[in-house]
Amino acid sequence: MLEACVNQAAGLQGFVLQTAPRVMAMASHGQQQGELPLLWRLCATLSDLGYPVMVLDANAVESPENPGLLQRLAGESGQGDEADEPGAWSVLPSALGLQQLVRHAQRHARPLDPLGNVLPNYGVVVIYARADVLTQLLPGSSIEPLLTVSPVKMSSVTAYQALKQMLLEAGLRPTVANIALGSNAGRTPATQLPVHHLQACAQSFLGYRLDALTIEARQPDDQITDDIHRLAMRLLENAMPLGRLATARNH
Amino acid sequence: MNIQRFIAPTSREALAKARLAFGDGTLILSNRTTPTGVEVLATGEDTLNALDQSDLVSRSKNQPQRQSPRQPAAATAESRSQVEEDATQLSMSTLSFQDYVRERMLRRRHEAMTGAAASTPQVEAQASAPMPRAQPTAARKAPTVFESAPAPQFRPAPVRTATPRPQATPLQAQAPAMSQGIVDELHAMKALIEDRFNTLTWLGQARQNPIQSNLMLKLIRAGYSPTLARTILERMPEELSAGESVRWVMDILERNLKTDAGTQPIHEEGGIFALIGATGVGKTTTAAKLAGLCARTHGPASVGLITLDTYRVGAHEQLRSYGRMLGVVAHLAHDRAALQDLLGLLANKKMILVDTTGLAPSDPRKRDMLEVLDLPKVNRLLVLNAGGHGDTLDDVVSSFKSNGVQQAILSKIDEAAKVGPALDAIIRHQLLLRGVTMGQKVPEDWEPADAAKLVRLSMRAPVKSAFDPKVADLGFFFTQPSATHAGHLHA
Repeated sequence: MLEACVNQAAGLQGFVLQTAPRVMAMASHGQQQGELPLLWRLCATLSDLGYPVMVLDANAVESPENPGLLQRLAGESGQGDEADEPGAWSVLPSALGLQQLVRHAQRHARPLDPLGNVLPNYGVVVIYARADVLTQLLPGSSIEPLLTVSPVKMSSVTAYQALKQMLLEAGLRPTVANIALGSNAGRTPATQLPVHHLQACAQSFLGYRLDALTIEARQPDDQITDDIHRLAMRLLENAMPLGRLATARNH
Repeated sequence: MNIQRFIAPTSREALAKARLAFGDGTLILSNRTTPTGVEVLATGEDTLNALDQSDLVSRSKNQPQRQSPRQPAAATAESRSQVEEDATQLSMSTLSFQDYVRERMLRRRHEAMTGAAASTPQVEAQASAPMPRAQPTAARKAPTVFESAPAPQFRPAPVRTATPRPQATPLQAQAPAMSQGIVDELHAMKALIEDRFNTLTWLGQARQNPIQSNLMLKLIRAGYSPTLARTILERMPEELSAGESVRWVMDILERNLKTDAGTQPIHEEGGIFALIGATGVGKTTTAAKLAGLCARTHGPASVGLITLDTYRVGAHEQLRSYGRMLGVVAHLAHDRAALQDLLGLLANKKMILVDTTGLAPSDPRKRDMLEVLDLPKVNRLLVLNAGGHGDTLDDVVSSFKSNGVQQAILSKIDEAAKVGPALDAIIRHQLLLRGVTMGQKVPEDWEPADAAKLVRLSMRAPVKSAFDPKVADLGFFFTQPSATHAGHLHA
């Protein structure tokens, strides 16, 4: 009766996808001072939720001294160092590896399948890459890449460029996170905020109504945690399980 | 009035004694079991006739000038025709005639009261007439009782269309205030007498009919309420044999236990379902089972999981663990706005399950929680513990009641010694049963609701229990007036 390996949810073990990593994406558009802190917090939150996280960083190039995804795909790098402890999360240089997957995408309908083989023990794989890479890797998928808009002058321009590229070339509808600084809120009119410019441009030129989740960067920690938690759950909801590339959206 | 009490070891002997005393015209007024045997209260028809006559005489004495010369004959004729009509309407067995006599006696008393009440306006009309001083006390007493007894269901007999009493006038103003307490008591007494008579009549019938009596015992031992059992058995055709009676009762129970047998199972149909209920009934496990069943058929992407339970320690973690096994994200909503946002986010899902905090019916937070769930397209799914006590289940169902179709799931069937109380509550409150859970295994221990199977399960002969009544105890179930709503029953 008290067998160690049997629990009341043993019947759910039959679900194939339960251990498959889920892929989510974050679009990089040259505003790393806004993107990286958010990405770090997001990874920490996902780890807290019990998902071992691997970030595939397309902004870092693999080398023999700094092996990354390319070596993993070639089977040259060991896999024993991943997810050693619960809640751990890792970053892997992936510029060349993702380029290889892009080339793979031109020949196969499921370009991300090889990731499932090389990163089997992770709960979540985050692809942090430029919009042009994402459009080639994830065309028509249900993933909603995270697009941050930081309170920097050029942020709305670069974000709009990434949005347009993803939306028009791959049909990807990004989840927009607006990083707001509480102290500026009183001084800057709402219509002057970068996210407002982005929304206005998306509506005018793309006919796309864009909703943004606002994250107040200068809030107390627990409130930021709530915001990030909500964002993480939303991204998870739209994440794509590896091994089953969704080609059609549910809605 | 000659009423006598007869005590004997058996009711047959007691009745024989009564018949010996009063002859063929014996009227049995009551019949009950006492520690020393069976006690029968009886009287003779002559006594009743005498009572009627003395009643008439006393009235005519008190009210000599009220009756017009034509009234007595008309009254007698009408009274006789009333009796004849009543008698033809009833196909009278001995017992039904006894009921009739009792009812007539009650009616006469009430009519006496209403007759006097009817006379009051005329009394007031003659208030200007000079009054004899000699009878003020009697005049004060009579109207205080009579004028206030409404008894609207009784037709006023012509005998009581009386002329006013002149002496009642001086104390009219004080009478209503003085009589109010007595009137209330009379109402209470009337209700009590009617209830007791009904109970005695029904018990008498049940004892005369051993099949009905045994079925009553069987239903009550199965956990069904006396209210429902009596409602069903009152409608049972008399000509059925023992076997047919049992089948008829089970058939009635099946027909009145509403299930979703004619439609798709809940996890196939989909929609937004909020699982509500008392603490510890298995809401989270049931949510996981439904999520598992839906995910197995339509894939993990078809299921949305939300929990509103921010109170129970580890509630979100528990749902999240199930979600992770299924490949489904379990969201947490703190308030109505967050729930709305999440429902928008999950709008493309086939099935969204909202787990809630378990709350006792008396918990003041229950209203807030129900308000949070008061959103369009959110169906409430009441999870009921199949092993719960009947009163507890009644309380839960009443307190979580909402508009529209009430849907329910019976959980922990495997742990319930009797499922009768749960089925009883579902039948009486007209709930739609969407499924049952009979174990802890997720998602295997789930079954669609099958009325026939559940009724059979409830009527299965249980092992001997200290809580089971004996045949002799059945009377106790009906000695207390019960205001419990029996529900609508389709017999």
